[in-house]
Amino acid sequence: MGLPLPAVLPDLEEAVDVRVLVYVAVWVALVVFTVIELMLVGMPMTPITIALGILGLASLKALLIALFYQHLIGEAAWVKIFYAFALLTAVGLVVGMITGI
Amino acid sequence: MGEIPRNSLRRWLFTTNHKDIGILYLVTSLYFLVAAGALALLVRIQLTYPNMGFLTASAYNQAITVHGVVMLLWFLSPIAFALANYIVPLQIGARDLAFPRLNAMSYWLLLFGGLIAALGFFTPGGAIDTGWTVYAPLNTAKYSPQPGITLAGAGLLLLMASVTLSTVNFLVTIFRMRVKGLSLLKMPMFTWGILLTVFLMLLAFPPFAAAVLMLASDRILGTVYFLAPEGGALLWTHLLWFFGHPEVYILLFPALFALGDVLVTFTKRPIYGKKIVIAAAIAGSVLSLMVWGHHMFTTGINPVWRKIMTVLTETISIPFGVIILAYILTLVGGRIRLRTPMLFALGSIALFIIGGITGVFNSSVAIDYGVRGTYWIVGHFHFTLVGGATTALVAAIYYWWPKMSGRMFSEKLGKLHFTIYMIGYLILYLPMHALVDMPRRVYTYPAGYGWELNNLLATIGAFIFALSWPIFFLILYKSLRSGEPAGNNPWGGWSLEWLTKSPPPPHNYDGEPVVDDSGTIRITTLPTNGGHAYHEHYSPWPITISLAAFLIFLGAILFLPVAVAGLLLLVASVVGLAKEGLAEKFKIPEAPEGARWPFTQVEKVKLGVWMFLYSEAVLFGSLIGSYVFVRLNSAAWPAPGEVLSITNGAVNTFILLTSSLTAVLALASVRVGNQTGLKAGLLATFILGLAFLLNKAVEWNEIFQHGFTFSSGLPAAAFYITTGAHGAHVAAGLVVLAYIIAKAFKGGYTRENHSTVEYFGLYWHFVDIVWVFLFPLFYLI
Ligand code: HEM
Ligand SMILES: [Cu+2]
Repeated sequence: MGLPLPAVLPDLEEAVDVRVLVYVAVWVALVVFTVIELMLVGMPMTPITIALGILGLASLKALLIALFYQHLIGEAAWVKIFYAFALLTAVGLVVGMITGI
Repeated sequence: MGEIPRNSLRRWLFTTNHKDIGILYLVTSLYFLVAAGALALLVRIQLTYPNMGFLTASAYNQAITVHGVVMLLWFLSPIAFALANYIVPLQIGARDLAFPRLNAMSYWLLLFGGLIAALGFFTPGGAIDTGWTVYAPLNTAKYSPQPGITLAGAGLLLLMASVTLSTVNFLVTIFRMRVKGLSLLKMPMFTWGILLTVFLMLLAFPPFAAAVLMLASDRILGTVYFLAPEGGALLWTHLLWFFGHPEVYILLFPALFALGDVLVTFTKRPIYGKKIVIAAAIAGSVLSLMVWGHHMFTTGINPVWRKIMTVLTETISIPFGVIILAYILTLVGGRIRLRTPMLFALGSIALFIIGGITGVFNSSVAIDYGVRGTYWIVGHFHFTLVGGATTALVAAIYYWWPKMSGRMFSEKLGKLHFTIYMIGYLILYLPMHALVDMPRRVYTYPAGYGWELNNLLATIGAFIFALSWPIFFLILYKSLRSGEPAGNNPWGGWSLEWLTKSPPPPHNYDGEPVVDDSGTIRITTLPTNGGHAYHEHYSPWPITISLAAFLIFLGAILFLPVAVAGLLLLVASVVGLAKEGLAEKFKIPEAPEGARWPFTQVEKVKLGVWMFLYSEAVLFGSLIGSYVFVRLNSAAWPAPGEVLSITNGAVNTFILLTSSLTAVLALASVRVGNQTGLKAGLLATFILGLAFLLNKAVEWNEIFQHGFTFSSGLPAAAFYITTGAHGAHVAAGLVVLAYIIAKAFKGGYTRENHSTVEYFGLYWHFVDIVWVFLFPLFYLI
C-alpha cells in the first residue's frame, strides 16, 4: 500500500536472475550429458555396458528436466509420489514383459 | 449461451452439466446393454442344441465378440460413470465436475466410439469377430482383412480418449472440490469406489491404448508388430492383460462401493471397518497391476514367473475377502430393510462370493491348464461381472433413482423384477460351471459329450433373464409417469446428496453444504463459498470435436474425403474452443475453502495436467516396453548409425532440449512481468518445435527412400510407431502453444496471472523427457 514500487522490484529481479541461471546451467548439463552419450557410442566396451551407461545418462537428464524445468523439486509431495507410482507401473510392465520371455 | 430452454434438443447436445451428462450416459449405456444383450440371445439360441444352424460360424463370431466388447466397455463401465457423473459431485458437495466441457467431450467420444465400432456390421466381412481379447496374430490384416476390425480399433481409440479425459476429471474433482470438512476418509463409499476406479483406469488403459495404436498402425500403415513372431501373440497378450486384469476391478469397484452406500442406508449403520475396507481396496488395486500373468499361464511363459503370478493372484483374493467380510458384518446386527435396492444388493454379494471362489481355483496353474478356454471360465467371469457388478449397479440405480427422477417406483414390481432376475440368472450361469470340458468361443458342438442338458438350461435361463430387463425399464418408466414424489430423502440416507431436492437444482445445493468434525452434514444458508455463483454452461465444441474425430477415423478407414470434412470440423471446433478460452467463459473460480488434502497446494488445472502426464508416462512406457520386448526377442537388429543417422538424432535432441529452455525462460519472464521475454521465449519454443518436426519429416523421407519402410520389419515398426507417437505429441503441443502465443500477444498473461504458460511447460518438458529416452534407444544403442 502506497509503498514506492522500486522497493519491491530489486529483490524479485534478483530471485529471477538466480532462477534463470539455474535454468541455463541445467541446459548446459543436458547438452554435456548428450555429448557424453554420443562419445560412448563405439567405445571399446561391451554393448551392454555402453547401453547401460547411455541409459543412465538419459535417466539423469530426465531427472534434471523433471526437477528443474517441471519444478518438481518444489512440488507437493503427493505429486511426486503419484509420478513415482506411474513410473513404477510402467517399469513393472516392461520388466514383467522381458522376464516373462 | 445461457438462455437455452431446459427441454430442448440443443440442451442435450450442448450441455456440460454433470447431471445432464449422467443421464446421457445412463440412456446410452442401457441402449448398449439392450444391443449387446440381443447378440447374446442370438448366441444362446445357436447353442441350444448340438449342431444348430441358426447362426453361421462367422455370424456367431461377430455376435460373441461384439457382445463381449460392448458389455465390458460400452455398458458396464459407462453405466457406472452415469452414476458417478450424477452422484459424485453431489456426494462431495461440488457444483459440477472440475472440467465440465471435458466431461461432455468424454460422453460424446464414448458415443461416437461405439457408433464407429458398430458400423462394422455394415461393411464387407462384418463386425469384429476375433473374440473380445482380439488376440494376435488373428487381429492382423493378414488373417482378418475386413475393415470391421479396424473400425473397432478406431472405436476403442475414441473410447480411450474418453476414458483419459474422464479419469483426469474425476481425480481432480474428488481431490480438489470436496466441501469444507469432508476429509477423504469421510467420503461416502461410492465416491471412494469411483476414486479407486479412475485411478486404476489412469494407469491400466494406456498399455491397451498402446496396443491398439500399434494394431491400428499394423492394419492401416502396414507395420508388422503383431505379425512378426518376435512380437506377435505374446506381445499382445502382455499389453492386453496388463490392462485386462485391472479392468475387472475397474468394472467391479463402482458396483462394490455403491453396495456400500446401499448397505449403510438399509441397515442403518456405518460400514463395519470402513478404514479397513478402503485400505484393502487400495491394496487390491495395487496388486491388480501385478497379476496379469494369470491370463497367460498356458502361453509357455517362464515357469518362475508363473509361480509368482499364482502367489500374487491368490494374495489378491484376500483384500476382496476382507471387503465382503466387512459387508457381511455390516449386515449382521443391522436393522435390515428389504426394499428393492437392498434385495439386489444382497443378491449381488451372494453371487460375487461364488465368482470369487471359482476365481481362486483358476489361479492354480494346474487347474487352469484344464479349465482354460472352457465354459467354466465363462461361468466364473459372468458371476463376477453380471452377478456381482451388474446386479449391484441395478441396486444402485434403484437406490438413486428417486434422487435423479424425484419419484418413487413400485416396490411390488421391484420385487417381481428381483425374483425373475435371480431365477433367470441362476438357470443361465450355474450350468456353465458343469461344462468344464466344453470349449468356449466355438459356434457349435457335437452331440454325445453330455453337454446337451446344460446348454438347453442356459438358453432357457437366458430368456428368463432377458425378460427381467423390460420389467426394469417398465418400472422406471411408470415411476417417471406416475410415481409418488420422493422428497429429499426417501430412504433415510446419510450422505450429502440426500440433503438437496430430488432432482437437485442445476447448481445442486441452495446454500452451502458443510461437514463438521463429528461427521454431521448439513446445508448452511450462508452462501459463504459463493454458493449462488453457478450459472448454466453450454458449449457446442465437445460434440463437434468428438464428431470430427469420428469422421477422421471413418475417412481414414473407409473413404478419405470424409476425413477431410472431419479435419475441417476439427479445426473450426478447436478455433471455437480457443475463442471460448480467450473469453474466459468457463473460468469457474475455486471456492476459497474446502477439503483438498493431499493436493491442498496444487491448483486444479495443474493437478489435471499432472494426472494426464501420469497416464502419458505409462503410455510411452508401454510403447518403449514393446520395443524392448521385440528387440530382445529378435536375433538381429540394425547397429547404431546403420539406418538412422546419429547426427540427425543428435541435432533433434539439441533442438528439443533448447526448446525446453526457451519455454522455461518464457515462464521466468512473465513471472516478473517481462512481456517481451515472454513472447520471445514462446516464439522461440514454437520455432524449435517446428524445426524438430521438419527435421523429422526430412529424416523419415530419407530412410523411406532407403527401404526402411513401414512394412520392412520390426525395427521399422518400433521406430515409426514410437517416434511417431512422440512426434504427434510435439505437434499437439504446438497447437496449444499457438493459442498461448496468440493470447500472449493480446496481453493475456500478467505477472499474477500466467498459469497456462506454466502448465503448458509441464507438458512440453514431459515430451522432452520422452525424447531424452527415445534418442538413445533408437539412435545410439
Ligand atoms: C477373487 C478373485 C479372483 C481371482 C483369484 C480370479 C482369477 C482368475 C483367473 C486365474 C482367470 C484366468 C482364467 C483363464 O482364462 O484360464 C480369470 C479370468 C477372468 N476373470 Fe477372474 N478372478 C477373480 C475375480 C474376478 C473378478 C472380481 C472379475 C470381474 C469383476 C473377474 C473377471 C474375470 C474375467 C472377465 C476373466 C476371463 C477373461 C477371459 O479369458 O476372457 N475375475 N480370473
Ligand atoms: Cu485377471
